[in-house]
Amino acid sequence: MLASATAALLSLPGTGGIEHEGFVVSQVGGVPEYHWLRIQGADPRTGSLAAAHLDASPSLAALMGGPGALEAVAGRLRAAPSEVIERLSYGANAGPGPGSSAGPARPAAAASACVLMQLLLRDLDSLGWGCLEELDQDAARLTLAHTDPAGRRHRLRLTLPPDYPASAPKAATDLPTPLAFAWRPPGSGGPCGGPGPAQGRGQRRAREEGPGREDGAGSGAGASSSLVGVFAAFKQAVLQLQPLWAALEAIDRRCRVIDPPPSVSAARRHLGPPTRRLVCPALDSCTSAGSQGAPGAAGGGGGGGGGGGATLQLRLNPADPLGPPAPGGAVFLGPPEAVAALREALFGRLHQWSRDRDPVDNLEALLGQPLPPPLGGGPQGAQGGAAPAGDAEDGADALGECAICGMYVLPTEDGEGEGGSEGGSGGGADGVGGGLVPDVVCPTPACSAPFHSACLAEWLRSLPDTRVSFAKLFGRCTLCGNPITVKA
Amino acid sequence: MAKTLSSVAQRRIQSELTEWMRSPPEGCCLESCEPMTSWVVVMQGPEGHSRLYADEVFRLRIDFGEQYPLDPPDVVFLAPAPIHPHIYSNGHICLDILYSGNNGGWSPALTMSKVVLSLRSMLASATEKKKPPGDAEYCARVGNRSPKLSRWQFEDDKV
Repeated sequence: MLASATAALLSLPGTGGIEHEGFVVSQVGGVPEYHWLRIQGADPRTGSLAAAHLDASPSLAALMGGPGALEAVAGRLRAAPSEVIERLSYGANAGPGPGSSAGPARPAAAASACVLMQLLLRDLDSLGWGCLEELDQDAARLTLAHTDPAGRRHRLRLTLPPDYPASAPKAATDLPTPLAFAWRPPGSGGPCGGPGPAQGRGQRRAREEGPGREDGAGSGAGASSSLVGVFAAFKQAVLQLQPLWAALEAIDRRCRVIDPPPSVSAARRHLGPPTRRLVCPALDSCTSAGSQGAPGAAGGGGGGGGGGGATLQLRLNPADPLGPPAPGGAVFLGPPEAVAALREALFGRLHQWSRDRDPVDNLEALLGQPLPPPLGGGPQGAQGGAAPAGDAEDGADALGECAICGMYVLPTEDGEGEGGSEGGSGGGADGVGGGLVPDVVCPTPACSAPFHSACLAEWLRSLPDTRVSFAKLFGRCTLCGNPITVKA
Repeated sequence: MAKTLSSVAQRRIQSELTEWMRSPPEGCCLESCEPMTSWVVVMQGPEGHSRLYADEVFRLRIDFGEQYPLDPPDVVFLAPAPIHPHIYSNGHICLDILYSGNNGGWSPALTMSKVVLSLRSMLASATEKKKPPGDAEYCARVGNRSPKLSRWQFEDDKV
């Protein structure tokens, strides 16, 4: 029995292509044994192994179960993608977990590592090695990639517990809903365990988990007992999220989206949470009063349809992307005068929201105004003509990221309570789906650095020369050094 | 070393990284930012008046703590460190903006771009290449521990 093996391969340019030669170290009963191994005929330019030839010492052939087994390995090698050698040099290294530690436990651990490798190889053979993106050295973590019909790339990161396959692998994805699947250990009776301990991205709402979990469990078609089944559940989940990403892409294409910023490439935009922050159109009732509110927002008034600096934070429901925004799923931010009219227009006519139109059409119909198109390359970008490239920079500055944390929306752990306080338009921070926006500005006009009061208070509290008086902290601006105050 | 970072630190470092990629500070480039909490910056010696360091290349390591940006990161020169009156042979740098506390000048408004530029101008304004007083004794005493554990006196305003 080949209990565990370590391979060391050296690549040499030979006469008939690249030659890999080296040793495989086997550990049977704790005694290391070296076996010679050579792979010839890899194409020097493409690295293709189609014409490769595998030689091994008789001791290795015997260990693998005769010359027939060696031929089978060679066949598999020829069919493999060219990077397989690199991967093998990792994969083959996958020894028993406690490789360096205690002696007595070793044979058992080595045996289970061998079983694990066999399972892994079998699963990867049936999935195709092309979808394997990364395999950790100890074979306990691997990343599988899947490209969906629209060309978006998704990753499934699996962590195999020490007692795999008796207990389920842990799956982490960048999908907006957690991936759920039932696990049945191979060779056992009925399904057990229920949904795997799947994790989505860090701060998923409990509310969103409901539909996601049902979908996942329903798609699994019974319990999985191998990585093939888990990967199938993952592909199914990706398929079910297509309408969500299509809707988000339509928003990116037709609206001026400022978060995620336009600098985030199209290939990565589906990886974030299903939220978009859009610049709002100026409604008639607010155009005159709008510009005095937020400091620096005046830049939005010029030609581009900045809506007095108002923006809309929109979060689509992954299970129902075309439906009306859930409570807290659409939040207007900006000067109170500008926001009030927009809020009234949208929420007053929310019953007119239709699932037959995409969200952009719905927003335009309900607000009664076209949304500002993207700056630059947008389809209608040329029509306005009053938005030179420099305007984009101004727009970004006017919004003001906090000078301490560098973010506009600061996520809070207990975001739930904030969503309801939309009516309160005082000086306090607006809640944005569980986050704070900058609400303190440096009083020195030349500086005017914006801060989240939480960030500024935390910084001032850490300084020895900050004075506290009547629940206010008196300190100095981090940027200009002039006095600034904030609620403690 | 896998440190757990607060999400604020993580996003702030990420945004600094993006900003750095968009417009890197003059004469500097990022050699590594893997893991995200530990950067290695390659710095071309500045021209300056004296051209003391003009033909040299230095490497800096920046380690972010989980309290970043409220706490300054550890910034040290990797060996060989420049020979400069404010830089010890073990790479520790005597510059107030790198340290917080009573006499430190750190501010969370500083970004790594600005810090690196300050270091470069500190090199540019040097008038002679000499090691700080007590260099050997200091290095023997502190070795490779974090420079933030040392008590710094920032006296010289000129360089």
